[in-house]
Amino acid sequence: MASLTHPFDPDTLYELDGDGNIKISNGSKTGIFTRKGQYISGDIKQADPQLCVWVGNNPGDAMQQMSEGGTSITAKRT
Amino acid sequence: MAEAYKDLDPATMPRSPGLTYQDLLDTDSHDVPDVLRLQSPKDMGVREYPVTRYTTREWHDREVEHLWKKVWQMACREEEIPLPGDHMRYDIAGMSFLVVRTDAGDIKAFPNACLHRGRMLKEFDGNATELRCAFHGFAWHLDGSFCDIPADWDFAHVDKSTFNLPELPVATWEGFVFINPDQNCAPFDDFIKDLDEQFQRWKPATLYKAAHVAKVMPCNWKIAQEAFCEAYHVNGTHPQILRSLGDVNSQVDIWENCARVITPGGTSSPLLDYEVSDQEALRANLDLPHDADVPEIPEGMNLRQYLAERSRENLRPVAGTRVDEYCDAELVDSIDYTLFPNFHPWGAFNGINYRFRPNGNDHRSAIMECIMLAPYEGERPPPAPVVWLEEDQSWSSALGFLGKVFDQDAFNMPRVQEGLESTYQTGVVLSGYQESKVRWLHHKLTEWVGE
Repeated sequence: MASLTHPFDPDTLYELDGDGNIKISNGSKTGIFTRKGQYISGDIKQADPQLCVWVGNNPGDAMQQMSEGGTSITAKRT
Repeated sequence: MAEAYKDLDPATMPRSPGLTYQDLLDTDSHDVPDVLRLQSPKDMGVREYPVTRYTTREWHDREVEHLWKKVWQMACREEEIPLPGDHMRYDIAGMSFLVVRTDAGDIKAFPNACLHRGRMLKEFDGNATELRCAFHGFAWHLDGSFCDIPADWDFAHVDKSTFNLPELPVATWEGFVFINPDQNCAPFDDFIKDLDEQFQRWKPATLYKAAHVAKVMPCNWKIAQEAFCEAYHVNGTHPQILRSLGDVNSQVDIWENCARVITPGGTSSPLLDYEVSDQEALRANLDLPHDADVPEIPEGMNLRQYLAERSRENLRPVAGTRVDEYCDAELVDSIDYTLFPNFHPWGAFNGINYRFRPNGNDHRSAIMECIMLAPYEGERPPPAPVVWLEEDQSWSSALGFLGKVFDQDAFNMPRVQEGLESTYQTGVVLSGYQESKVRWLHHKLTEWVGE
């Protein structure tokens, strides 16, 4: 599962949760955000949206979506 | 007329605390090529550039008239039209052109329009034995010379000896085909000279087109382009890589018709106020989860050398023993060149090329493309066709890790457009050095388009 601590705040961890949202934790506090950084719930109320975009961006998922109906380099070249 | 810009002295100019890029080159495990030792910092002034350059139809129309109808621009790769009759359609700002391989093997470009009633001659890339219009059947040979008018008794008034397709200036550079809509344009050699001198070592002509991904972005083409013209945005847009990227250590060099930003990899950002271990920098570089094991860096190797060695071994199967000549910097750093107005070939062996242009005649949307070139052994593989991403498709779906980075840039682009449509500012505020390539682009635009 994608995860990393924020370089400007190394005590704060960003990780993808099981629902496809971004869980941010710092000590005992947590917050849940969308993959674009919009607040959903929890006592951490603000997030770095770009880290949410990064942690929530799983090319494997996207490849799956594309193979079901879109095009990809792989699909085009095989 | 745009103001002239002045040389800066690399030894005394204002720059970020910490190592310079040239300091990092001194630690390279291989000989560093002269091209990376060049330094050409410029004082581009501190003026603001008008917001209207991004937001108004009036400015766009002037760009079409004074830039896109006049400037040399990259249209395709030579390898995409290897056989007589192969043709590519190149569209820019509402105009369409055809780039054609002739029977004689040379490349010609024409307005993509029938000389009869003006219908577009070819809608799609492909191969043809002649250029025949689908409306009434007028036809031209591949070299643009007149071929046929059905029922030509009714066109006795047309002089067939001169009824040829107008020919546009065409040039090739390192496997790329350039065209110029202006039949009286300045020579290509003058246009490409600066860039050509610097690519003598890297030779993109020896690479093949391994991937080509395009997407319409909801912003002015310059907003998309300028997202890739400086490393200053890394702290805000790509914070995940700060432990392994010397963002504000970047070196910016400006010449007359090209510019570059070199951003060192395998070194942490001076913006971080703590020491980053090589292991944590490597974790960031490899995008490993926070609790995953990180490969051990061999004794006696620093991080840059280790990353370079990994890259050498990845390239070895297709590039052979050439990889042993590549220095660490050529394998680890981002060496992003820009050829005015919109073409961005990366230096060294990264293989990345960007092109940005207006989407049709819409000043609020742009076409962003990434063309990946790669080395090969033996026969040249066929070039990858362009893959157009739909609005809701991510760059990462097509380009993996690199695409993840683009998705962060793309996340900003429509918001920049909307912000510029809303701001009370009249001009955009740019830094003096780190954003000097953006300044240079606007300086060139001023020369071509005016204020």
